[in-house]
Amino acid sequence: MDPALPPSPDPTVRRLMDHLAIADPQAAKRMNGHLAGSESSVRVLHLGRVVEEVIDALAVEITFGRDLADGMGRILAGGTPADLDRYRGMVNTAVTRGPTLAALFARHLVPVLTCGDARLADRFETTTRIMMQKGTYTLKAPLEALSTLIEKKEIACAHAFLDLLSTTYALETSYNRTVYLTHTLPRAVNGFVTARRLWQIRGLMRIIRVDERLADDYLQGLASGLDLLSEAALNLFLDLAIRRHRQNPDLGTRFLSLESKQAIETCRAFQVAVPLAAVRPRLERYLRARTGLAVAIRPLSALPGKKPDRDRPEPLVRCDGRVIYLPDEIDLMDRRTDNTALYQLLAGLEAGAIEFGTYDLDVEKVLDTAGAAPPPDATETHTAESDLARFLRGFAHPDLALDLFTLFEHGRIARRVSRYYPGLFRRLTKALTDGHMQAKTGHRIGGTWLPLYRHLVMNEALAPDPALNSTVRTMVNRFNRMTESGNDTVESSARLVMQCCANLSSHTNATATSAFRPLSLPFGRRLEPAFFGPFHSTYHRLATEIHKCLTQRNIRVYRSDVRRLLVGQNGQVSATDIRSLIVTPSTATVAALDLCRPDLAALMCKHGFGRSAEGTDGAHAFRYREWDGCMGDYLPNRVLVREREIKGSDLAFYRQTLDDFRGLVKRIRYAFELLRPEEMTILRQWREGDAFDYRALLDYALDKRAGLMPSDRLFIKRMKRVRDVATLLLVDLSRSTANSVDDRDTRVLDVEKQAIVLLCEALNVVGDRFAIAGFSGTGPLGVDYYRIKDLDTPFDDGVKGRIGAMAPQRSTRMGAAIRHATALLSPVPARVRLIIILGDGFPNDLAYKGSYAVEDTRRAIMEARTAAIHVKAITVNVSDNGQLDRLYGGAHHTLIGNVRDLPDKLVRVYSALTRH
Amino acid sequence: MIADALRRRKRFAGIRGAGAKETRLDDLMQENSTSKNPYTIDTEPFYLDTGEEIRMFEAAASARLPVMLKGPTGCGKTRFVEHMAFRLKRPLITVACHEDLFASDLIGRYLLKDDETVWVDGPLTRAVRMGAICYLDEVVEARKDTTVVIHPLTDNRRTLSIDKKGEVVQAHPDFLMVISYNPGYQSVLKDLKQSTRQRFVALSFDYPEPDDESRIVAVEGNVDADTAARLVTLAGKIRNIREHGLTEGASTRLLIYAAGLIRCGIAFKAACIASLCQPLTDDDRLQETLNDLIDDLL
Repeated sequence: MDPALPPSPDPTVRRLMDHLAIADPQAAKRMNGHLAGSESSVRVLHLGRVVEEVIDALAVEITFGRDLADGMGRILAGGTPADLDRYRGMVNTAVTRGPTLAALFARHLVPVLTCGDARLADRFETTTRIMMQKGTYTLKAPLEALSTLIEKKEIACAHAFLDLLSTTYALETSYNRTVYLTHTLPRAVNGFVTARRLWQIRGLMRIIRVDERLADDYLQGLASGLDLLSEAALNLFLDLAIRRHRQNPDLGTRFLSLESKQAIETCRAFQVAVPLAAVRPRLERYLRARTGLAVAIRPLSALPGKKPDRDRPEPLVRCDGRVIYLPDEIDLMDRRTDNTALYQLLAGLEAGAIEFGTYDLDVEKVLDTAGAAPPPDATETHTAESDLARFLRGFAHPDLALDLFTLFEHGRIARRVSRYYPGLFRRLTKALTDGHMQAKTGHRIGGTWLPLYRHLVMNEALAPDPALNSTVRTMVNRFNRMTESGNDTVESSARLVMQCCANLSSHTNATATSAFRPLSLPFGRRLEPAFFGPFHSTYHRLATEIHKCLTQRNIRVYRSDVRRLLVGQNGQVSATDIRSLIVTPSTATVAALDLCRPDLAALMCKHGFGRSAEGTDGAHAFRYREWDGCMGDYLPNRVLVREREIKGSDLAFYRQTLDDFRGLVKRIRYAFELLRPEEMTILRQWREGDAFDYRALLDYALDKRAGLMPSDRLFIKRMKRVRDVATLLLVDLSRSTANSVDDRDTRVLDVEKQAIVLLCEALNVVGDRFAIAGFSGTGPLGVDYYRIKDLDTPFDDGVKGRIGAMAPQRSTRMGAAIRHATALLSPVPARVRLIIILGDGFPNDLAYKGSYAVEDTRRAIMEARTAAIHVKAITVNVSDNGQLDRLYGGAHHTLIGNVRDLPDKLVRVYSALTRH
Repeated sequence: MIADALRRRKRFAGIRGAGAKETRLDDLMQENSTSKNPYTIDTEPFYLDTGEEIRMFEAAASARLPVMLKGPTGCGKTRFVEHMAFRLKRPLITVACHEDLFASDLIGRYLLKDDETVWVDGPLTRAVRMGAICYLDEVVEARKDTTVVIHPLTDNRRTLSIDKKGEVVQAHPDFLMVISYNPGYQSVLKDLKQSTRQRFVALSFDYPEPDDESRIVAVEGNVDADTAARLVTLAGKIRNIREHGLTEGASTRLLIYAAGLIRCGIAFKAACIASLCQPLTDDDRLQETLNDLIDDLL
């Protein structure tokens, strides 16, 4: 017997398992794993025969034997004798067609038989019989998908999926098509959202019945937006699509796949569910305007593993002070506009907590002004613990205290909102008291303090439990006194909690404390101590350390004030700033503050906010911020850009390029000659010129009449309009530009350099000022910026040599390079300032990938445009996947599929960009 | 002023070219013979002092120092100048600067009148002579060869040279040069030269604090305090998204416009859309956000 197997208490079972282990320890292990812990006595009766069958199966094929052992074990542990018989029968039938099929059945029959739905097993048999007519190869992927559905307890979906398979495999299709569907259908079904999977499967079946070739179009339509439709809406849409298909197959196809404009509009009209991505920008703008802070919106699915404190349904909204988490999509209401409004409502509710300082709770302030002895351990500072958690730790009944805090704080915010935002208050109150809406969201409201919550927050009449009447009325009176001045803070709510808890304890009100039922609020909202930490955790840690440093020197400041200062000043805070925060300033404290200046500077550097020494290699270094798209704010001083020189010189490359492209060079020179400005500007008051200046003539006559010496500057000159363009060509020197483009090992960068040479010739002809720079680097502190030619540098052999010497470097931190280029170009007085980014892909660097890198680069481009600098991009060697539009803007980039076209196209693009 | 004019007449009598009627003197005499100077402000313009700006301006005027007013559009720079002109009992001559403004538009030119040429002083010369406050609004819009005209007036010389007449006008002791500009969105090409900037004492303006702004909107817009407070709250929210889509925030002037519409019976939301949302931006998404903010306040 394998020592790893847990020995069974039953000697018969032990003996049989040992017997099986001799044949195959793995099979024995798998079977025993299911039998261990199972109390079924039935299994013992059947086990002997089962073991023999498994041993026979192992003799046929080892995988089959092991799967059979596993399956038998599961059936014995969790099934009935009838299930076992059926399982045995179906597997034995499958064995006659080969071990592969038998293994599949052994593996996937178990969930079918043990799910508790006998009809499913019948359907399984029928479906697999149809599929086997096409071949055993049709079974593997679909059966795996079926097992997944059953394991997720989606039995209705399992039925629908089997119907889909029956329908599909009953059709006459080619072998290739069958193989394709065998893999596509399970993958698609697994990818459907759980809540809508059932009717989407049925929709797929319906479409396949019409024409199986439409399956791909249907799946494409789902990916493009049909997946958000409700069941009724999807059926309506499919009715339209099928009707169109019957009239015109092409039109029907385009409609079904949401390629036609009419289809998109129809889908939008039918759409009820609203994905978060559709409303997120609007919500973030609103929150920015409402609070003045960069509050980010994220989906609930992105929560970093934090769970609500209690075992209750997932809240519809959660907030940690700077990020509001909302559902990935909302389809609770019957109309799309109502679902959008629900998003706004939830964001509006949490915005109030952020705006009015709920998350600024500072326990020290509470205790200082409460006039009560501090609860035990409340003064200890655990860096990773929120102030709310610290506060609650001091109470005998933390849950009760949390409920009271939630109650008073929500009430306080409701009062503020009603005062400043009456329209919003009306909408919020209506939603909170709307029983129909609450029923749809699935959150039942309740709790001991619900009547008080209804009164303070939902603006309803006070109707407390009679047993708590006097207690509740006392609390209401205290609350009203707290809020009547309008100067209440979150600490006021905390102090009120302390008073009320003390009152409840002192009155030994058994009804209040012992029969306490926690609050269940609309939308599942509540304040969670574990989730109460400030979003800028770096600032929180730094504030804690500064607070500790100052406390050691007997300087009293509130940690929340320091944190607020850090947030407001992007992590930069000086001793002078802190002076204003000292609670009881005196000569001694100010003197002590001066002494700890070096400590503060060291703390700041430790947390990455200090001004570190610049590079020791003599390169000019510049700090720039970086945009964090998830956070919705900048990371200050995140990136270090160093200006470097291109090492070496290759003048021969420049000359060789001119030689290789001599025909193109001639055409470029001619084309750019024509680009020279044709328009005229009028210069006045010349002694000679093209025509009289009538205004000057009038002055001449008047001066003469007045007896004065008239001016002889009576003419105008018409001059060609001056082109005043300053261009900075920013070249990506990442290592990917070392990729070959042909069999002669010509690199992407070589072609880019050829294009730059031709562009330089063109710019020399037209007379525009231009600069050339390359960028690369690794990591946020290692961005290299190579100044190859500045605007005012003459275009000499040195510049030509540096162009030739450009070589692939490292990675692509594009945002920082654009910011540095913007900083260099901003002071240039030119009518048109232009940055052209020449690259071969997307930004990519250490911890700078995907959407983060794209968002930061987009932001940098936006900053440049705000500074009246045009930014255009030319990308080579990349297939268009729509991301370039997102990165640069749809009308602001050119994709050159064949890098060989770059030299010609770069010049054309430039002339188009700068034509008057 | 009349005595000065008479002295000048005597001085120029012997100068060639002065035979042309010195109608300017007659104009001045005529102006002074009537009781009303058209540039004098008779009614006190409402202005709420939010800092030390009144005291600072009075000190600069007393020391004859030119003043530069910097601030965003619609924050009260022009109103402040009007208020100070009333307070100091000096006439106010305002010139709206633009890029086609020539030096002769400021100084003056000869014009044909009946059968004679007459010299007509420009607004700057008038102000210099009569001791008025000359206010150049948005001075960066003017060409630099025009703005250098004011240089002799803004240093210790306090003179204005009229080349066509061969005259150097000594500024009246009460003359004061005031310029304004909005540094927020000026391009590099349109910034003030240092040689111009450093001739002025600068006062910085911004939108007032909410309580002050509410009072201003209530008075100027003639609406109740609650409506004014709501408009100011809305402006505060809009200003939070300046640089996040909007080039400039909502100015106090726009709030007063909105108040004016509300006073005339227009609904709050419609007035805010017409006065605040539509003028600030054409972007649909920003309009959406502004509408959301208005709905919160209704």
